[in-house]
Amino acid sequence: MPQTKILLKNIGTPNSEHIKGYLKNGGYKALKHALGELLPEEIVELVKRAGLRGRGGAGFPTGMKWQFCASDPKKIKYIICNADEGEPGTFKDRILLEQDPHSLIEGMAIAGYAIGCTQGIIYIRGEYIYAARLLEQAIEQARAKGYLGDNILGADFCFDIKVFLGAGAYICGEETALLDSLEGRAGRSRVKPPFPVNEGLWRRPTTVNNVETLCSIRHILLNGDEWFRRLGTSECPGTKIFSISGHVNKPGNYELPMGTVLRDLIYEYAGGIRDGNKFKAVLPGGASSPCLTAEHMGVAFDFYNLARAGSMLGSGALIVMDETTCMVGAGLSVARFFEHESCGRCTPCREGAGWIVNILNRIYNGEAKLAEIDLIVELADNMRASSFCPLGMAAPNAVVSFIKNFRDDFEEHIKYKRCPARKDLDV
Amino acid sequence: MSDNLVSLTIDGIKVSLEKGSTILDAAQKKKVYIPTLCHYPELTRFGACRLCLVEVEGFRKLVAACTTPATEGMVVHTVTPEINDMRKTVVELLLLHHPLDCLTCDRGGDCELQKLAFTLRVTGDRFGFKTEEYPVDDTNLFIQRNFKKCVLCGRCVRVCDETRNVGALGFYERGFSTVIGYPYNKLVNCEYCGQCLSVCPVGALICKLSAYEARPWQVEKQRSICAYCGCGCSLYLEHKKNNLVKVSSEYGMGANNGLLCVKGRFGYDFVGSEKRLTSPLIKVNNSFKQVGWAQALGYIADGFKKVIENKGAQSVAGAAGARCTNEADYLFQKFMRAALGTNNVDSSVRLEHAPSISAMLGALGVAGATNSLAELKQTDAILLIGSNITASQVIAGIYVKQAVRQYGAKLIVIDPRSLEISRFADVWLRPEPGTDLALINGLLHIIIKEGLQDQEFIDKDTIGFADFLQSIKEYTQQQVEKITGVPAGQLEQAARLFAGAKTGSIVYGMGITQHSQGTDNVSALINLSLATGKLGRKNCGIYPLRTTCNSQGVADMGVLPDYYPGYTACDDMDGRRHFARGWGVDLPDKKGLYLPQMLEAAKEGKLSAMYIMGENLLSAYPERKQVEEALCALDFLVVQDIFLTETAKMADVVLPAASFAEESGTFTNLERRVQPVKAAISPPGEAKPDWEIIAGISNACGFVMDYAASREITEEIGRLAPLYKGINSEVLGTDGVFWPLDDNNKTGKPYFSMSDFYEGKGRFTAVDYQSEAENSEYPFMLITGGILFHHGSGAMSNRTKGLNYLNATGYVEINPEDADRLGLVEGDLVEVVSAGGKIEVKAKIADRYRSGIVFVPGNFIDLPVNKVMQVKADGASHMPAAKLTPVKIRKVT
Ligand SMILES: Cc1cc2nc3c(=O)[nH]c(=O)nc-3n(C[C@H](O)[C@H](O)[C@H](O)COP(=O)(O)O)c2cc1C
Ligand code: SF4
Ligand code: SF4
Ligand code: SF4
Ligand code: SF4
Ligand code: FES
Repeated sequence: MPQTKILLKNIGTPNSEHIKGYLKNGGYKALKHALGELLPEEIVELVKRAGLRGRGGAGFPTGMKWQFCASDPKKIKYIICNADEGEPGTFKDRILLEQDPHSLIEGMAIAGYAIGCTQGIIYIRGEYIYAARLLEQAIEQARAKGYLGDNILGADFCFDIKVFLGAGAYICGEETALLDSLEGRAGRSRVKPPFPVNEGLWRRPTTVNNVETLCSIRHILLNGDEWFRRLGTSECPGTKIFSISGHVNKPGNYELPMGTVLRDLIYEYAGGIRDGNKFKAVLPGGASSPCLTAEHMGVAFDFYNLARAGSMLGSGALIVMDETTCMVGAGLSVARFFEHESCGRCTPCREGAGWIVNILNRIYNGEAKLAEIDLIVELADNMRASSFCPLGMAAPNAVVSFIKNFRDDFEEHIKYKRCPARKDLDV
Repeated sequence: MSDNLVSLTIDGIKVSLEKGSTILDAAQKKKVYIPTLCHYPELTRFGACRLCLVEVEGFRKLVAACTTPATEGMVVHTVTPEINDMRKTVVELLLLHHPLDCLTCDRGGDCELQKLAFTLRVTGDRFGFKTEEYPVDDTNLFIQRNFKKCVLCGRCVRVCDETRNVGALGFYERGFSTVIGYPYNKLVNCEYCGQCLSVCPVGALICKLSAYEARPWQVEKQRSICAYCGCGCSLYLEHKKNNLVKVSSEYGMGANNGLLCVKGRFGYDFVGSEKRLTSPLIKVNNSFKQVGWAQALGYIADGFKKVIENKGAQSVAGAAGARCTNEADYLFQKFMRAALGTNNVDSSVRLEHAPSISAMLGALGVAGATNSLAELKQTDAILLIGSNITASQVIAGIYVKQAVRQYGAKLIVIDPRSLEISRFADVWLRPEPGTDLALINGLLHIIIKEGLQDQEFIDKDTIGFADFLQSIKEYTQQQVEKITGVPAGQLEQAARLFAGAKTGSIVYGMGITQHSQGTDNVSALINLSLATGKLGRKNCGIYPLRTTCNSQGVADMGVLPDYYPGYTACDDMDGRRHFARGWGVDLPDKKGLYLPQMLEAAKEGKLSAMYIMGENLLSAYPERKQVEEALCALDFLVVQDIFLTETAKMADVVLPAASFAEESGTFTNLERRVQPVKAAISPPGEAKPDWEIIAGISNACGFVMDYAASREITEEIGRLAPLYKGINSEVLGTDGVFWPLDDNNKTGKPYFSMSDFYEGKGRFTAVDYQSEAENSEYPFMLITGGILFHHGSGAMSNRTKGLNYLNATGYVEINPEDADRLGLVEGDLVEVVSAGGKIEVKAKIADRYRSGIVFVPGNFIDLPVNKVMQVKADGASHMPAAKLTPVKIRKVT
């Protein structure tokens, strides 16, 4: 079955990154439509009716966010595109940024109009320097053609976009840490409330949206909310770009309707498990999500169904592991990631993330006591319940799910100093 | 229920409180205990330690009480097994890094982590992990940082950034490796205030001066007032076995809200100095002999008597410093007037704010800041002129910075120097030194020209507007730009900013007063307040920044040749009668000699005896030669001080006084707040509180002063001195009161209403700028002033170890351009020469000043810059003004 290419439709077409190619593909029509025929509040309503949920991870209804921001009485507001794409296993925003930057620019301009702000900012991870350059060129092209700048398309609307490079911290993808980073501080999550929609960048109302979210906007404007609702599930309309990586034959980005089941994602699209091996587990929403196992092949991938299955969709990054994967080792690499990325502000995450690595290391090397497996679970419960921000709350998810589903892997490391999955491993 | 209240239930207790409060605020209101660690009042909500987690019915997750707003109808539980478990784990996690050496930790017994571990019964360690060693950081002279003990609560970082507005600290690294530190591991801009120390909940920050001096339960704490600047900070003198071991403060207390500066917190050890005077000394054959009190007092009585018999009462005079208590000051002038029969009594206020007194009394009928320090924070526009406020009156400076950074005030700074506060200014005007008057008149000119004045206020509440209008006619932007060098555009910007703000205050220092037109300068500032309607209400006032702990009080007490206590003019018959009756003697009706006149009179042989209390006049007086010659010419000199100062060395009798830590009474700070000072320890040797010494001399002279304790003097002041009416130790409480009190107001007036001024009006005073002739032989302009680490002429601060670590000697600061021209490099020895004298000093090259201006701090005993300075009197106030002296600079080879 082919993919449902809407967001990815322009990818691979000639000059897709240039305004020339974009215009040929019908670019900036949605903006024209918005400025010419719609009131800002009509756009907000449309996006609400479409049921679009943020694609950055939390799945918050986009229209609602815009409405909160639009209705704040403060004058100066900001729309920020979160292009930090830091969740391990996620590489969907990159393809949009590099090959279809005008989609994003158009989406941001429409959002700016809907919310009532004149300044957009794209916060892009430092590693995406190539995409950042492209974006700047694209912005320049859009300005030259009058899609950005003063009185866009003759309307009483001025809007421009700046690109800001991040400095390599996963936490800066979290929207409030991102704001701190933009303000020139080390990125650390802020206390909420106040929420960014009321007090965001420089304490002004600020909307933060993911790249994929913003790229969806023009399609909703052009095709309508009913069209959008016909895609995907009733709870989560639209398509989603799934980044599939790990032990599959054809890793890559796949745009499919929300609600596509795990089996199809792996076997129909990603070409099945490598070397004809057996499937062991998948992290369905990047390193922050608890794993699913073979019994979950029928789970539909959207925000709600994955939550019901005990996990989360997150950014839609599937990290697939086959039977040769040592779950202690896999846990360790996830745990190391979070230890490295914890911002260090709150006690449970700062200390917990560190000590989990410490224990896992010793389990891996067969030096720990059996009881320490449960100590991880206890510590994890604590982190989830008491961390300051979502990073710390999610940090132990994967590790705990590995322990729950593959406890033998952990116990054998300790008891027999060997790994059941990797016979080659001598600990 | 009112709109801005919310009510909620915490552990079954109903609370209602202001919207915007947190669950923690609500709990604390009802004394429900929620453990906290990273929370600290008035700092931004941080939510980092996660100890304060509570359960809110209907919430999916536990929430931090310190960051979660209390909302209507919330039902909160603070103790559940889950919460307990959570909190315990947090403490366990913190202890994993923490060396358990409470036995030898300076904070043992006074540590929040220790208390938490105890309360939550964290026993043993479930994890059994060990962390690496981490070296202790010793870069800061006063503060040792032990990273392993740090719980990363961020209080130090926040207090330094948000309260002090310094930002010397930050979080570095991230995750497990997070540490608190200085940028690039360098102490870039730390001001050594020690505020971080005072908020640290654990032993991660240790005060090096007091470490291992005492266990928390061994010290006694006496609340008192700082002895340095006029802010009058409340502090605790912590003492053990009659030794001061530490100075501390507490959030929320005093005018300072618990803040202190480096001098107040670390500059206390002069009290315990070995050089303190411990017994009365009488000079015999040019050397001092220790004597008993009886002998000394008798000797003094004889000395004064002899002079008076021979030459009359007008041949004796008294001069007091500004560091003694109101009680001592009051007795001092009473002694001079009632016992010796002369109004020849003056104080070092003559050297700092005499112009403020004469201008303010003339225009408003009161002399002192019209509003409280705390109001500065709420003021919309602040005009700061002639003051290095963040060095000289640190707490006032902090309030100005907070007004700007935390509350969004606009700040206009007028000063030729590049000061720390300049960075916070919206407009910074840099006039040529000495041209302030032209500048202020220029601002007024613009305000009138653009119609920005508050005409309604002017019509209703002021007198003399028409004459004043005439007087500023010629101060056009062009003219003022020519005189001051300040571009017209900037003048306009400043004028509009100040006039246009809803509330505004003027804050000024000695840069304004120490000038031959000092009184006119102050009058012009008052004109500015009046013209813009920024006086006589909350958050609108004028603040003379007093330099010393009791500068305000010593003048209030009438240690002035022309005023009895409470600014009752000597030539006012009723006033004189009032005091004559109160003291039971006839009083002289002629006003006495001002300090500069005393020195002149002494040189001319008309004055033969002096009594100097608490001031090293030789260093404090702007022209040293004057004092030297005058004191040499005297027949009889009595000096009462805590050290054998240079002035004391010239005396015939030296009397050992108690320091602020050993004396009780009151100080009045620069905002007119009369505050109780309490002895914490007893004075060394035979030293005695100043008031006791004065009473002793008076009794020996035959004028009976019979007070059992300083409290009784406070009461007499409260009975006799108009402005202090009704003040006594009971009314004072711990926080003190703002004078004046009246029948329906027992806590005093933090700010004056128009009705508090003389006849309920403000008077405009027409004042005209007079230029001073340039002198090509002396091409540089010498400015003197104070620096952060020292105070006054250095009598106390130069004798503390800590402050001397930071800055032990003076220097002359020269602009790089000038230095180049003179071929100077940092550290070169130069000669600073004026028509009056010269000093040798090391050069410091910095670009705080424009070319042509040099600066020498006046805070160092061993750098008598007053050998160079030249005095020119301010006519109205007899201030020997010497902020600016023309000098030349020569390299010493
Ligand atoms: C630790 C952390 C990292 C995140 N990283 C990203 C990211 O890289 N990109 C992103 O779009 N959202 C990220 N998010 C989610 C953002 O906080 C925010 O919810 C999102 O940008 C909102 O956009 P959306 O509503 O369009 O999804 C992250 C959240 C957390 C807690
Ligand atoms: S959970 Fe705490 S330590 Fe972790 S990233 Fe968030 S704020 Fe930082
Ligand atoms: S001593 Fe004062 S200035 Fe220095 S770091 Fe501490 S709080 Fe900041
Ligand atoms: S040094 Fe003290 S105040 Fe600063 S973060 Fe550490 S524990 Fe907190
Ligand atoms: S010197 Fe002034 S600012 Fe510093 S602590 Fe003392 S009174 Fe406060
Ligand atoms: S006191 Fe609330 S989190 Fe630290």
